[in-house]
Parts: sequence; C-alpha cells; structure tokens
Amino acid sequence: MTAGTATLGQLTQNGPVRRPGTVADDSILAGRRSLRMGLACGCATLLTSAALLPVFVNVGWLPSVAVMVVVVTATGIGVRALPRLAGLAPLAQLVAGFVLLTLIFSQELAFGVIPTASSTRILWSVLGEGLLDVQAQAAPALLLEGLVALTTLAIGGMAILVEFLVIRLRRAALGGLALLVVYLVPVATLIGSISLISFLGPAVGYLVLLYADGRDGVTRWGRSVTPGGHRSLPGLVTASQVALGAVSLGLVLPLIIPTWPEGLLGQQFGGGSGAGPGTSLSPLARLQGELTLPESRDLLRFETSIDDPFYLRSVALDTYGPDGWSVANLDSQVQVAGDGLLTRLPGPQNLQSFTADITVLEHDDRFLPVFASPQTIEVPGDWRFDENSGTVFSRDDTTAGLEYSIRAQRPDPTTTQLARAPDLDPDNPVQVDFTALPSGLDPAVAALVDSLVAQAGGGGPYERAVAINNYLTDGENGFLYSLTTEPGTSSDDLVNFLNNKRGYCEQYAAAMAVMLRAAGVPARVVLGYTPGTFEDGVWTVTTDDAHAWAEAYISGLGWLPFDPTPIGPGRAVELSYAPRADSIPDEQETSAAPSASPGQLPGGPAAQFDESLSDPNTFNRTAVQEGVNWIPIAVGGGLLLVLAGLITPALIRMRTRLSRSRLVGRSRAAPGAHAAWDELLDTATDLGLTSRQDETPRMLARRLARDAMFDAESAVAVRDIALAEERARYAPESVALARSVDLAPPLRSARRALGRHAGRRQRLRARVLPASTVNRLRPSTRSARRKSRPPSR
Amino acid sequence: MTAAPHSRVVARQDAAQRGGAADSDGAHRARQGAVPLNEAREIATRIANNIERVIEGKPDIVRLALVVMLAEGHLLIEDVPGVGKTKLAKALARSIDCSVRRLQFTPDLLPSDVTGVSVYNQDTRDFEFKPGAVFANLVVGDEINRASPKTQSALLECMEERQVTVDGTTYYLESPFMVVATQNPIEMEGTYPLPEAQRDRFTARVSMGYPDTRAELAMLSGHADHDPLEDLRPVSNAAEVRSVIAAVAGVFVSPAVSSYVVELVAATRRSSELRLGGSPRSSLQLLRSAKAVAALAGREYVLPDDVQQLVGPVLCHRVILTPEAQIARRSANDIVADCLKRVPVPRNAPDATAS
Repeated sequence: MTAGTATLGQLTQNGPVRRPGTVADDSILAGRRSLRMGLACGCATLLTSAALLPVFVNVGWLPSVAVMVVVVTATGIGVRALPRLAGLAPLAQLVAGFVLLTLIFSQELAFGVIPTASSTRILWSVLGEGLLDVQAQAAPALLLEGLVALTTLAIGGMAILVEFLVIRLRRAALGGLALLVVYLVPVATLIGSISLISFLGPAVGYLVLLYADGRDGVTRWGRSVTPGGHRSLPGLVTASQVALGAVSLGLVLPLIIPTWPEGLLGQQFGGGSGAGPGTSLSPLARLQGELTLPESRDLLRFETSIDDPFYLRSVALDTYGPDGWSVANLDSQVQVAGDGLLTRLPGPQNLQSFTADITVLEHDDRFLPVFASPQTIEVPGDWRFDENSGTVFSRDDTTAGLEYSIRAQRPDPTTTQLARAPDLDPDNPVQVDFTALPSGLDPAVAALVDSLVAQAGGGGPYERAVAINNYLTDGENGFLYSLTTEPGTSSDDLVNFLNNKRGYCEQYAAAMAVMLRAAGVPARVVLGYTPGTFEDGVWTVTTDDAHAWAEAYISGLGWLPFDPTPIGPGRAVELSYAPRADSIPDEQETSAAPSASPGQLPGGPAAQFDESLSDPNTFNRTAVQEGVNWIPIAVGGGLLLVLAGLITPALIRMRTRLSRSRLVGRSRAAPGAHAAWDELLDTATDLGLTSRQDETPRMLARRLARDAMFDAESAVAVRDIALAEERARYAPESVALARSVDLAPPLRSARRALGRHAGRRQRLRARVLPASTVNRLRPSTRSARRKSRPPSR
Repeated sequence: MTAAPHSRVVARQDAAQRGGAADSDGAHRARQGAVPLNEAREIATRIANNIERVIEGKPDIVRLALVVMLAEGHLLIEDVPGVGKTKLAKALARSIDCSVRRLQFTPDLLPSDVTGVSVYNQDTRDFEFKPGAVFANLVVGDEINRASPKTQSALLECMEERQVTVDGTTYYLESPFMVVATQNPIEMEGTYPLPEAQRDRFTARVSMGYPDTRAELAMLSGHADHDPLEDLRPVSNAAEVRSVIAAVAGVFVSPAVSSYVVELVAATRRSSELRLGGSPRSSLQLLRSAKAVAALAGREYVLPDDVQQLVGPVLCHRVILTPEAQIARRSANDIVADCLKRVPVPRNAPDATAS
C-alpha cells in the first residue's frame, strides 16, 4: 500500500535515524563511548581536584593526584576495551590505584610492582598520619606526606566512583554529586570567600561530564539528522528557565535557611576533645566579630616567683590577611625537652628571671601557655618550640591534665635604652618577615599611621610604637570596649574598626599590630591569657581571662608586648615602657597589683566600657562569626517572605472580587455582565471546577449546574449570568441593553450554590490559595496552550 | 428518466448585464420582504412539525434540513438504503407549496436532462428552451453518485449561482431553490463518487441513521398500511419561505462570532491530520446556517453555540484526511471535533476584524 510506505518515510524524516547497525558496529560504538566517556570522567575529576588548590600551601600534591587520575582512567578504558572483562573495570581500577599508591608512598614493592605486607603496612601508617594531619592542620595545610597520600587516595576513589556512576550506571548527573564532595572540602575548611578556581574547577568538570554524556545520548540512536540543515535549540528556553530558577533560589535560600560559622570543620587547630567551649584558642585574630560569654571555667592554676607576672602566651599570629591575623607556618623540630636555652634575649639589658609552676585544670589545647622568653620548660610529651614566634606547640599532645614548670626571663628595659633603639636593618629577616602587609592596605589606615609617626617626631621604633599605643588607648580618641564590632561602610574590617572604635581585645591587638607594621616596626599579634585572679599565692586563670595583645620588636631588646585593649585594670598588667595614655599615675600602682575581688570592678576612668556590658571583664575566645545572629532575622524574614508569597494570591483574588462586585452593582451593560461572568468562572476554578476553552457561556452554565448539583433556583441564577454574558459578547448593543438585568443577586446565589457543593477543604483552599489567581500568575499555562496546537502545514 | 415539462417553470431570459449582480440583488430583494423573527420561527416550526409526521424520531435531522433551506443552501443526505433519505426530501418538498422536481440519477442521465435543452420549434421557426429538472424550488436528486461526472457537474452551476446557461443564454432559477441529494455510501460499484468541487457546494451533509426501537415500532404500526406521505399537506408556500429566508439574512452576527467561524475553518486547514481543510465557501455557509439556527431559536443574534452544532454537518464532508489519519482509522468527524476543541470560544472580537 503506497500510503503506508509514505507514512513510514515521513515519520523517519523527523528526528534521529537509527542506523541499521551490525554487531561489529555496536561494539565499535561501545568502544568509542568508553573512550570518550572515560576521558571525560578523568578530565572532570582532574578539574574538580583543582578545587583543592587553595586548601594546600602549594601545588606539591598535584603530581601524585594527577598520576592517580590518569592511571585510574587509563585502566578503566583499557579494561573496558576487553568485551568480556568490561564489568570488572571498577575492580581493576581499585587494584591499579592501590598499586600506584603503594608505589608512590611506601616504595617497598616486590619486583617493583607487587605490594607486599610490609609495603602495605607502611602505606597504612602513612595514611594514618594523614588522618592525624587532617585533624591537626588548618587550611591552608602544609604538604605532609600523609596528607598528600590521603588526598591522592580520595581523588583516586572519586575518579573510580565517577566512572562507575557515569559509564556503568549511565547517570552523568549523579556524577556531579561525587564532584560536589570535593568542592565541599575548600568550602568547609577555608575561611572567608572561596576562590574562583575552587568553584570553576568542579563546575567546568561537571559541564564536561554533562556535555560528553549529552553527545553520547544522541549518538546512541545513531547520527542525528537535522532537516533543512539548521539546528534549532529547543533546550535553550528550558535551560534558561532552569538557570533563572536556580540563580534566584541561590539568592533567596541563603536568606531563609540557617547558616553556621564558616570554617567550622577542620579549622580549629586544637579542636578540644570534648572539653567544652573556651578551653582552647583558635589561632586567629579578626578585626570584626562577636563574643559570646559562656559560663566561666577555670583553665589553669600557677605559682610564680614574682608577684606581678605578665600575660601567658599561647600562640603568636604572624600573618595578616584579609580575614585578620593567622598563623602562617608552624613547623619546628626544636624539642622543648632538649638541652639548652630556648630563647636568648639580645643583650645587654636588664633581665628578670623567674619561675612558674603551672597546673592545667580544664585547659585543653595544642598550644602550651607559657610566659614570654622561656628559658627552659619541663613538660611531658612531644612539645616543640617555634623560635620565630615563641610558640610552644604539639602535634599529638594536648595540654589536658599537664603539670609543667617554666623558667623565663622578663626584660625590664630602661627608657633610654628604648628611645635609643634604632630601626633594624631593612634586610634583616625579622624586619622583612614581621613588617609584611598585604598590598591592599587601606590608604586611610596608612594616612593615620603616617600622622601618628609624624607626632612621634621621627623617633625610633619605640617612639612610633608608643605613639600608636597612645592613639588606641587615649580615651579622648573614643575607643571603647565592646563585645561586638559594628558593621561599617568599608569592606575593610580594619577601617571599620578604626572608624567605629568598638571592639574587644582581638581587634585592638590586630589593629595595633597592623599599624605597627605600617609604621615599619616588626610586629605580631599574640593570643594568650591574663594572669587571672590571685588568691593565697596561687593565680587562677579562667576562660574569661583569654586575651590578645600585640608585640613589637625593638632592636637590641627583643619582642616587647603592648596591650592597647581598654580592659579592666583588674586584669591588665601595666607595662612600664608603654603606659596607657589615659591612665592616671596614682592608679597605676594599684592596677599593677591583682585585684582581690574579681567579681567587682574598680571604678575609675582607666577603662571605659560600653554601656551594654554588664561585666566587661568576662571574655571568651569562642568567637562567633557574624551570620549566627542573622539566623533569627533570616528565618523570620524568610518566613515573612514565604507568608507574603502565600497570601498574595488570596489578596489579589479578594481585590479582584471586590472590584468586580462593585462593577456588577454599578453597570448592567457589558462590563457588568463580563465582571459577573468572570467572577463566576473564577469561583468555579477556585473550587476545582475547571472551564474548557471551547465551552460557550451557556454550555458552561449547564455543566456547572449539573456538576455542582444546583437546585433549580441556583441553576436559573447561573443561566441568567451566562445569558447576560452571551448578550454582552455576541448580541447587538441595543438588544443587550434592552434585556439587561441586575446580576448581583444571581451572582450571590450562584456563588453560594458553588460553595455549598464544594467540601470544607476545597472552600478553605479557594480562600487561601485561589487556583484562579495562582493560574493567572503562572505564565506557563498560556504558552502550553499555544504549544498544544499542531504546527501549521 | 427525463424530466417532464412543468408549467410553473420560470425562465427569466435576462440579458448578461444583470448576471453579475444577480446574487446581491436577490439578497436585497429578499430582505425587503422579511417577516419578524418570531413569525419566521413560527413558520419554520410549522414546517418542521409537518415533516416530523413522516420522519419520526429524527427532529435534529429535520431541523438541519430546514436550516439548510433557510440558509439558501443545499443538502446532501448520505446513508445506507432504506432509512428514509428520499422520504425526508419528499416530506420537505410536500410541506411547502412550491415546485418540486425529482431526479433519479442513473449512469445514462445526460446533463441536458438536468439543465434543459433547446428544441427547434417549427411553428416559430426558432429554438425553444425546454427547461430541465433543476427548474423548480426544490430539486430532489436521488442517488446522485450514480450519474456520470459530467451530469453531476451540470448541477454545479445551478447549485451555486442559481442560474442555468444553455446555448449562451442564462436562465435564472426561482427562489427558494434547494437541491436535496441522496447518496448511498455502501454500494460503490458502478458509481462515481462526488468530486470535491461538487461536495463543497452542498452546505451540509447529514446521515439519517437508524431510528431507535420505539420509532421503528411506531412506524411499523402506523405506516404499515399506507404511506403517510400521501396525507402530507403543504403548510407553507414559496413566498412565505422567501420571507423567512430574508429574516434569517437579517440576523445579527457579532465580529467575535465571525472571527470564531474563521478560526474554526482555519483550524481545519492547519490540522496535521487533514490534507484539505475547509474552504472559504464553507466559512460563508457555516455562518449563514448559524444565522438560520439562531433564527429558528427565535434569537436575533448568532451564538458560538449555533456555530458549534453546525461544524460537523457543514465541514465534515469537505475535508480530506491524510493517509496517516486514514490508517489510524480516524474519521473526519473526530478530527473536526478536535479542531473545535482547540479553538477557544471568542470573548471579544479580535482587533483585526474590529477595524
């Protein structure tokens, strides 16, 4: 039959044509697919691992990861090329990955390639070290062997997983989830915004995967034939709609869902092992933030041979970045337990040696709180001393339950010594390392520092440091202690702090250190504890005594602490060489002595407190980032938004109804009839009775009366409205006017009848989420209707 | 069978100069004699009731036949033998006191039998026109598909233009003029199915369909002994029908309804299942018959409802299905009904037609 063949011919013209393929054809196709998709998976994995670039300090990890991905991908492609073994590809990849890992990290292979028991044991221990490193290091992490091994293992595993998902299960979209896991690593560990490459790597990788799969999906049917030679892009509209929806969701959702402080995972250097908040310090000093004040806990108890000990140092922060001060590199092989003096202070100068015996109560940290310039420390465990920063730290041990003793020296420089001290040589490593500032220091800060230096009259580093200290401590400049910083107009937190003049010790110390560096004085921020309260010859340090201050390097004298924070005189230890600008000499004596009653604040102008503080002495280092406070606001705002979105249709509907009923009451001509009819239609739609586009008014009226089981009166009412609408639409105006009736009563009766028919739930829905308005707000119904029409021939 | 000469045949031998304007002139004339709408409705109801005395249980078909007549159209009745096709045509003819011709189409029927022939008259020494079967108010063409195509096409001119041209002379046909043709779709051997051009000239096609059990029982008991057609008396005349036709022509059509008709017919042209959609003539006839429906309902304006109920009878016999649709065993009725569903009922006239 000719008609039949014509039909088949026509059908095959539109759309992809399946080539009549032989078995050999199919296997060639499958081979090509394996090659193409395997390469795509490898590419995607490699691109995704670029997300880890900012997590490490350098790219030393990349070669082993790249080799791993290449080996895994090549194994997959090779094994899949053997038709009978194709199903074993993941297994073969696992074996290949394991061999490679052993090859790289344990190097004890039999005949060069076969892993042995000992090599496996070595690999195991390396990976174990890696796990410890993960706990111990903060991002950006140092390239320790274990960490690199772990990363290689993870990326290799991900490559296998992605290949399995994409090639075996043919779920390229799911492969994106595996890539997402890698992307989460920088998101979870880095503080601040994620660099572009961390996002672009996985994103481009995912696109590569989807593109390869999309092409594969088409070619699976054969070669695509586009009639007329022009390619239409039917997916473009859908894609743009999806993109629009995703972007708006991405903008709106963060406002609604609660957020938690970033860098939550892995950034806590000494993430206390169940010790509760405040028992350790996070090695960061930010220029904005907020403090919470949990219950005070006792951390340390110590006795010293002097009666006015200075602060206990925990960790020095030597790198200033956009997010404040942090530890750049902490690596030392100097064992505390070794012979010899730990620090040698440059001489000659007055030094006061003293000893301290410290008992740890609840303190639990990987930094050991010690006094400045320790000579010897007697402490059990593997504690190292970093000479550059004076920090005592351990990778494996914490301070929990320790008892240790320190012999330290305290410099007591004379004013002359200080004033005479010259600037360091510009090439001196201390001068270079500790005056480094990011290039983008705000000009306002530079100008302020310049003016302060000018006040110092071109003096040496000490004079400049004192000028800066005076600026921050002089009450006339308006600096106040506050547990929260205030948001400012600048994107630079330092500028905001200097403008708002509100903050706690972290900001004061950080700001001073930056300003010192800007003034050419080597400086760093130190985190630690004030000596706490003195009772019966024993000092007790609590969580409230955590503190931050700055240290400046004065040539010939060493690192000298400066404390610009206006904390209570009960806590602050006055420094003879750097007096607070606003302190009254009389009180300097008493403030140097520890306060006997820690709960009570000695009055006086020495410290000015933000009025909102009930007890400014209390202070804890468990800083909570901005955003947490946003949760209630965001949740509330989100709820309000959702609520507003929910009631909008109802409000629109109500307004429409009111204006329509007004129109019905006012006009008996066409507008009134139209309004009555529209209102009837919308009521029916709200109650779940839909109208068809090919229904005339009287047909619809009949159907409504039947479906909603109207009584005679309501049926007549609906009919009246339909007839009036009909006349308004199709009759000559004279006829429509002559027969016009008041439609308000029929409309009321019809609406009542419709409501009676509908159930309680439907009535509620009609009121809360009227379908008529919702449908109208949705533009797709119209376009869908247009699409349903067959194309013109 | 040749047509017998008929005394009431009117052959106006107007000159060719009136030919072009004949149609509009006729319409103008008809509107002048229009009766009020309620009277028109009363007349139509009277005729319908009269026909229904013979054709029982088929009020819709009877009404449609009347609508076609009042719309100045022609009716094609298509059904199996013995369901009353001819009887409907005859009952319609008898109910109106007007000239009726019956034409049994056979393969040997000649075009001149339909239109008429010039015969040499020895007395006047001139050719004299002997009018054919179409010179009547109502022409019943039985089994029209049995005639040869040339005879069928002889009907063409007279059906559409209401005139006959023989030997260069144009003869006008009297109003009302209606061709009611019957056709048997089952017996196809030795028949010439109506060509598209000719089918398009019929305003509507109806199928009688079998009567329901009750109507058939009543027919057996009532009509067993005698033909009820014998008792049928005219209830109206040609002049009255002309005035009703004029009234129908005066029914108001809103721009919205006009555009609806155009959209509907355009939808059949766009349909992927139809090789040939409705012609512009079909839009015209659809609207005209819709006016007749409105008039029969006593309404002075046309509703989309009127159009909707006519879409099937008016459009189905004009469309041609694509081979795919035929293979899919789709009927023209289904496809036209689909088109109807796809066109939204107009609310206001579109701007294009309003201007």
